[in-house]
Amino acid sequence: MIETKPAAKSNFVGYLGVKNYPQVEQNLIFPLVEKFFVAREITDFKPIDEKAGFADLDFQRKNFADFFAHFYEFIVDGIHKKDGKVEIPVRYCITLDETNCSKTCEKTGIRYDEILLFDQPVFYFLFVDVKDVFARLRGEVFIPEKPII
Amino acid sequence: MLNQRVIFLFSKKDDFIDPFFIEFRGKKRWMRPDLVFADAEGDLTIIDWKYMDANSFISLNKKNQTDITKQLCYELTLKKSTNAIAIESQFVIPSFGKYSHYLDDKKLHQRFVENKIKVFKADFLEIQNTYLTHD
Repeated sequence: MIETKPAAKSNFVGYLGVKNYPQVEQNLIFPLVEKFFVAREITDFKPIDEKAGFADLDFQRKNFADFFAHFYEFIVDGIHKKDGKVEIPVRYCITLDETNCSKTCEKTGIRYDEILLFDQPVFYFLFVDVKDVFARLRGEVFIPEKPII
Repeated sequence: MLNQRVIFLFSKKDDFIDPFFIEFRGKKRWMRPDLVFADAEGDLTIIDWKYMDANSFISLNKKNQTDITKQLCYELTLKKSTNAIAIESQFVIPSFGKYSHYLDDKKLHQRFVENKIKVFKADFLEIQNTYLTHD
């Protein structure tokens, strides 16, 4: 049931395969992601390249010595200057491992964590409960734990 | 020339809180720009030495792209941590000619120009002499 994923960059990330991912994406992932960023008034957000997904432990030098190369290539690669001001689109990574998410969003109840560049969040882990994935596959309605305030 | 451009360096630790980091759960990992200096007006310049040929900046490749990304990250963190009104980014490359000068925008890929990163060709012998005769 658990297969090898040779293309994965991290030793701590698990991927899930389903027959009908668009169903899960449209009815669970997209609404969750959008709800999270709307609550933060962030409009420019993109998922990290799938194989570039990583975990909390990868922030430690002993686990990922060249993390900065990864950071520049996959997280802040969209950085640019507009009207003299530096702007960065936010990247996020969906994770099935709640350990990656030490925080709970007050407005949405979504479990998350963030990497800051100085004091600016540039990356978010967003937790998706595998139970909700299976509920979607069974056609059940996704009900967020807490509505947006 | 180089000596006139460098008014004082931000090397005195007391003057400068290092903003060049990323942070996760209170743990920091540090970025390393080569040099930041301020002029008399307090305008800042972030310099990164690039041991590259002047022709390396005409086209865009993975290395160039990463160099631009890094430089903009330095700029953002410095901007957020200081009151400096103007922050400029420069790549400095060695020149073995007679004088130091900026590369013309026409010799830079659009991405450098759009992101206002200048490339300065610095007289290597002058740098060497300054370094060797410095206290």
